Amino acid sequence: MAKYRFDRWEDGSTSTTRTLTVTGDLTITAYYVPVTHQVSYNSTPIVVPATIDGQTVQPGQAITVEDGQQITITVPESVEV
Amino acid sequence: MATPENMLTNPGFEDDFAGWQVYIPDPTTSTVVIDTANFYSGAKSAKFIITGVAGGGSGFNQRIDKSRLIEGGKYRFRIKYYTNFTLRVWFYFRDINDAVITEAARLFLPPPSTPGWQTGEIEVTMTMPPGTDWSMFGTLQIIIDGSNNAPSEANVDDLEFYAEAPTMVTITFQSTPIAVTATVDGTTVSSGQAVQVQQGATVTVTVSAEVTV
Repeated sequence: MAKYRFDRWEDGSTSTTRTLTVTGDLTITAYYVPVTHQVSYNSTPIVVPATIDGQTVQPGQAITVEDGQQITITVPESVEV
Repeated sequence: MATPENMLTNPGFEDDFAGWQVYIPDPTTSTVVIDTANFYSGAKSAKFIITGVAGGGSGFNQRIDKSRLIEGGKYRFRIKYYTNFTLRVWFYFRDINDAVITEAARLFLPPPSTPGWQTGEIEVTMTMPPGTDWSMFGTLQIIIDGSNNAPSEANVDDLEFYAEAPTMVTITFQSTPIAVTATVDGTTVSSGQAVQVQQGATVTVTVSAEVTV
């Protein structure tokens, strides 16, 4: 399951309710965009990179994921610093 | 089926020129009077008397307020006339300050080959010209004008101006990249679905601010 939020109509208006006078055939389009979240990664007490869905992420770095998106985070079992 | 409303006041001149704005700039060239001898129905008609002296014409007009008209709507004007010269009917869009926006339509009523009462008619569409919009519109003026360069006469009677059967138009709703539903004046429609509404109608469309799919 993923969430989407209303973004705009094809005329650029952004209210979810729209009033229009119809003088001829027309098509109206509602544009939606995925709801996204920020996933921030940290390690402590040492700086250890992780991979999120194969992408290397440094501690303190955040990535954007869509609502409902399943992600895989991998960190090394052991590190030498 | 209900009879459409005639939007003109005193269309058969049975109350003389009540409801009409008469203009007779120069009675030596032309005038308009109420005629009780020649009429199409009732007991009166409006008569143009043209002297043939060069100059301007005479006539009468009536305005129909915007509140009684629908943007994009189609209307039918009809007139009974008896003439030996070409009468002219002008339709003007006037703004809220009564200034002419543009000519909406015109109807010329030529004399027939055999004298007698004739019917003239025209469809008038309430569509504003490019560069203007409905909010500027105030009234539709209908002018019946008589002018000629030879002595002549004409009678008119039983004018009509009414809305034609409403035209239906289609609103198609769609959403992207996901299929959601909307309400169009309270009716739920799915993405890709079309609804029919009366041309000129104002409709309210609502979608959800957030959906889960």
